[in-house]
Amino acid sequence: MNKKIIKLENNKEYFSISELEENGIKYLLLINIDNEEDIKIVKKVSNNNEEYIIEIENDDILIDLKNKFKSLVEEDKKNYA
Amino acid sequence: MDEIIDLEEVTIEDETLKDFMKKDEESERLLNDKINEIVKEEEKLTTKEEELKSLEESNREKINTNASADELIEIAGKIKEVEEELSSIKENIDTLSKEKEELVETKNSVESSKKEYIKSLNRTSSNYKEQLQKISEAIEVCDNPTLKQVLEDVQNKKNEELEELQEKRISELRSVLKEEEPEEKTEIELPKEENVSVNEIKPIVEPTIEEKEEPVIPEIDIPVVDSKTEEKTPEPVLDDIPVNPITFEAPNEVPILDNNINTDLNVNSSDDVINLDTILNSVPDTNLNVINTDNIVVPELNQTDSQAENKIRIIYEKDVPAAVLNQVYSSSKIMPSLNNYLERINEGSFN
Repeated sequence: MNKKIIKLENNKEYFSISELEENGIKYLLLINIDNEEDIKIVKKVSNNNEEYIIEIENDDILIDLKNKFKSLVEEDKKNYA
Repeated sequence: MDEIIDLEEVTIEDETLKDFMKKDEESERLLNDKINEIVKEEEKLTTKEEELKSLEESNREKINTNASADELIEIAGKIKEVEEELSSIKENIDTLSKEKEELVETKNSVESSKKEYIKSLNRTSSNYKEQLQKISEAIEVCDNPTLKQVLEDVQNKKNEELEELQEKRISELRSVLKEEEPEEKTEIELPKEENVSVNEIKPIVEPTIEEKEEPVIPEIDIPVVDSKTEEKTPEPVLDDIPVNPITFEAPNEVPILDNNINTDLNVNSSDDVINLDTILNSVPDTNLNVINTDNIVVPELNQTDSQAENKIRIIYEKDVPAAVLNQVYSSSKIMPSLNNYLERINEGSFN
């Protein structure tokens, strides 16, 4: 899966370090390029040929996604580091 | 941190780029030295002019007080000396100013050459991608295993070279972009494809770096990959059924369905998805494509106001080469921060 740098309309740039798809929805784990403390999990949606991200705020969902991303990141680390 | 990786940790391996940067620094240094010299000469000029003024004043006083001829001759000699020094200082300043102009031109020329070279790296990168595309098409149709192996070896080599180029491009564009204002994104212009058949594999012409040696004063085009031109994976089709799949609640009415319809939820039951087991147990097998929605009460989309506020448009996406990823995963800042974020569950604080 290709890692990407994503620029948003608020002029922030994030590194999409991991991505997972569940029930047809893509979730991204993003790290701010300028501030490594700014990390978020978002879902990626399309609307009128534009792509958007929406931050996940539901705590239960966030816990579940964090667990999943944790294992994905560990896996990637072995391949790249 | 300006870059996803520490810029100090990035080593610029391309010799040409290193040369450009050295020349850039050197021309900057020379220009500053020249400016300082000019400033010093101008200060000397000011001092001499003041000296001349005071000598002329002294001369007038001597004349008014009927001083001796010797004194007058002495003062006249000093005045002449100072005037000569003044004119020589003025000549120096003119010369230094001309040299300064030349240095400014040199500096601009180096800067534009550097930008042109970076642009050529972008073109080279596009050429590589085109070639890789052709090679993979040839591999797909190739029946000869030996030939196929050769093609795959070439493909791997090209991939490595492309990754190196992309790494250089990202780091150098970053340094240049700091000096430039953001410009409109442009699509990468791809050269026309040539027909490649298995039986006539043409020798692959590698793009040469010598193409850079024609500096034209350009503006930097930010080679951003337009997400619309990328191959799209099928987007989730849940827009027609406005449901948050994670927190889906079973409909109040059970739909009447054909028993032959298979489930098409595409769910791995081993995944620990919250509420999904509940959904599977409560809702009969469905094929979402043929379901009769007249009998189903679909819950309304629970999009909160905060979700609408947090919806942010993506302007562009760029691929990141493997070399950069290696640095990310071995970074002493990023990985600890990431691990800290992912493990913040039990503490009850969520981002």
